[in-house]
Amino acid sequence: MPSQLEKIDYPAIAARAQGLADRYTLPLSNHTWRGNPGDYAGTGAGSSLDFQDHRNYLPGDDPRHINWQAYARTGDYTLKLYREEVRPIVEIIMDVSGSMFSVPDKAERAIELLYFSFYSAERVGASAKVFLTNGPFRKAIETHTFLSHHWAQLALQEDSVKSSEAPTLGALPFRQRSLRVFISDLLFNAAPEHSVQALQRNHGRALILCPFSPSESNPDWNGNYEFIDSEDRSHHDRRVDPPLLKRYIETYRRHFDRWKAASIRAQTPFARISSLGSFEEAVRKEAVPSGAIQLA
Amino acid sequence: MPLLFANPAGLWALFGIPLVLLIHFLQRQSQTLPSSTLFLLDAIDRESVQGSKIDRIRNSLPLWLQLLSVLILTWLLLEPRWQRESGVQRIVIVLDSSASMEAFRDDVINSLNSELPAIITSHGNVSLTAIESHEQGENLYRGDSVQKLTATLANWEPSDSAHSPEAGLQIGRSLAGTEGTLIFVTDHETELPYGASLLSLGSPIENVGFAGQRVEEREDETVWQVTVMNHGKTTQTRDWFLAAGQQRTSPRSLTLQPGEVRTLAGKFPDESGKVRLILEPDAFPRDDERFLLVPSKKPLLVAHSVEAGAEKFVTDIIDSLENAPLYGSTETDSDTPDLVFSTYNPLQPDDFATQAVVFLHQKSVPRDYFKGLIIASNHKLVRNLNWQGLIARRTPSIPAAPGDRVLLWQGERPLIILRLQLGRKQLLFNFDVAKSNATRLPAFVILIHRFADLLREEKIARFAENLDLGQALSLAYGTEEGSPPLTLTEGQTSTTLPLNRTQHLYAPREPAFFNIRQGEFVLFEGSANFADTREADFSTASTYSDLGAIPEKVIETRTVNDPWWPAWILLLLILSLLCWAALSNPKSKEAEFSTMAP
Repeated sequence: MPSQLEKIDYPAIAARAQGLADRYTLPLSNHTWRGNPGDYAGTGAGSSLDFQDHRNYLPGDDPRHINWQAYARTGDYTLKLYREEVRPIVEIIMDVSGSMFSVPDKAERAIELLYFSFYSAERVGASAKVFLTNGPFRKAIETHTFLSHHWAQLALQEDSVKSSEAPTLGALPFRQRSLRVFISDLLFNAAPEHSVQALQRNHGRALILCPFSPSESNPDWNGNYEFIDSEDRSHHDRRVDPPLLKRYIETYRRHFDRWKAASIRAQTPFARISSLGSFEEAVRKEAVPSGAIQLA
Repeated sequence: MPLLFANPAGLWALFGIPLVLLIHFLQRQSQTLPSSTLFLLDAIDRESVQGSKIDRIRNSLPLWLQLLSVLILTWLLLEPRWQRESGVQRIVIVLDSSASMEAFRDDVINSLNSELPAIITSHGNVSLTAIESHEQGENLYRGDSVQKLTATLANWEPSDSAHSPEAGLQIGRSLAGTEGTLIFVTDHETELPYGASLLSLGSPIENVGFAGQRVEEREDETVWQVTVMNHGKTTQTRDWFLAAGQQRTSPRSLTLQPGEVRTLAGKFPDESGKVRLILEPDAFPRDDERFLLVPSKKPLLVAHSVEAGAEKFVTDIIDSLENAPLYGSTETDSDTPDLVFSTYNPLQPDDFATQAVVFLHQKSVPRDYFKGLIIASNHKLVRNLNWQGLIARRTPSIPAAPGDRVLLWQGERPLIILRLQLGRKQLLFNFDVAKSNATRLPAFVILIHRFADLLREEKIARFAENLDLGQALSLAYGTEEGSPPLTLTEGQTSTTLPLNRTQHLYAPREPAFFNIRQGEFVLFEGSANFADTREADFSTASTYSDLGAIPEKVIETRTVNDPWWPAWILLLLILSLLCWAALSNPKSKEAEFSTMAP
């Protein structure tokens, strides 16, 4: 497992993420959710001040919601419906594959996104739940485990998986109409459409935050390299010269273009977040413009 | 045009290829990097997963430029030369046919097998000739195969005495032409004319052998004497024994200091008059056996009919002749004597005998002497004889006759005449010998002995002699129509010699007893022995070869330079510049690749 996880200063990142959650938030406001009563619009009628609709009175309805003015005008019992306000459910799926922690800056940015997502959900009173996933491995993390930063140990215990094996998102127990924040570098060999669909199961809404390192997107390889696979630690001799590097960069770009296209088709916010610079600088480039992360 | 390389050592430059590859790979020594995108690399570069090293080579422009540069540099260093269209490569090998080469024959074969292929630059168009160095040597081989040449040499038996190779080299140069290759193979270092190359294959040998022989009469016994010499530089011990017929003595040991000569002597043990002396063989066996027989000259029947005044010196002369019995004193089939000594009185002229030595003789001679210079003619009978002390009285002359050959003149007077009449020879002393001082001159006696030997040579009779190997043999035999051919018998081997091919007879080239017969009549009994002690001395034998320079000479004479060499150098410079540019400007390199990519 990635040794970078052992070197991370989790409390410091968590503290920084808490501060970030004051300035940035997950895109929860422009959608309807299900959950316990809270501050965000729910899918049904509720007791908020926001008018939603009229409908005829049916036996069993609360007579307090009868619109007496309308009865005076029409003689029919009409109910005035108000929007429900709920606490959205945020399910954070953290890809803990080796590639996520292959270089220190990327590892730090990924964990920063994880804590940001968690604290951002907490900040708005959402019910946050964290899943760790790595290929076939998946594990739900208790809140106290997450807050005590012991989740990293669970990730470390996981055996290496096959290189580029896709996480089994379809097997995760997502709740109805929850927001699924998928934090992953997406460096696995799977069709993006399937993964996005898996994230949208049970009428859920997906959000993909994709940390990346410039060492992956624009490497300066030239010569002979002994690549160590971040997933299974296997060694691979490669010679990379400019033509091959050019093709690699093109392939890398096409890989994420497919993810973007799949996300757009599924109306899923998708943002690639660089590991370079501060969090603010990184999210302002793509995450904020795309609505994947919003200003608080 | 076939291609040759003047400097094959230039091939070493090809080691630049692995060197460039090594430097290339070392320069690009693997860095260890963690990677999370290997699946992307695999997707675009599946070939390199299995054959990444080939791909490394395939995609590096500087590498290819450097490899091409190495190949061009190798080409230039090889000094390619194009063979001229015409001409056969002629290689003439003159083999030293002196007997000492027998000890190194195997070395010669091995060396030629290994050296000649390197000299032959024109495969399939080569002429190989091997001849012996002696002016009467044989042509050993003519063809185009080194294997056949060396196979021929396996049976080669050099047996000539020490001689100058100049005659053989001159013939060799004429056969090779000015551009041909002339090689002299010998066993010692020497200066060579005619642009010949030397291949010396000798080495010092501790040789002990018979160096000489003598057979003489002592007190009615025929005694042999041989000398044994240690030619080496260390003390040598050899066993030797004597064999006669089927019998042999027990071996005796003989120890000789370096350079020591020891004489062995003994008498001939049996009636046959033949003995063999055998020395323990060494690396040069030719002088380790000695065949000896009792020599005997052809009998020359003599008679004399001289007047009283000449009788005494004539008798003395007859007595001095070897194996010259007086006619009638021995049993013979001959009707006439072989030589008649007679006198001639010009005042009472008479006919001469058929073969005769005639002395002018008259009872009273004038007191005055012949005057004038004494001049001998260029004839073998009087060659190197000194007549300047001759004093002869003036007498009338023997009448001249057609066919007379004057051997000695004094002034206008012929003093000695060789007369040929009907194939018979007469030696005429045209002055009164008895009244002159001729009998006290050695030249006088020698002349008569020479004349007697001349008659012996022409006489058909048996004689015996110990000869050297290959020694020329003068033999008289019947030449009448219907005469049988000559037969040379050497041990168990007999060779028939047709009469039209017997002008030059030679003793065998291997030590042996032999005889020559015509029909059943034995003309000659002889032995052939190695006699050239210079050839038995291997102290100066050495190994040396200057054949290494021949390929270069051959290439220079038979080929022309590569006319494209300036272009190759220019291309090399361009490649170097391109390589430098590619290495110093990776972006342009990438651009080149992108334009090169399909």
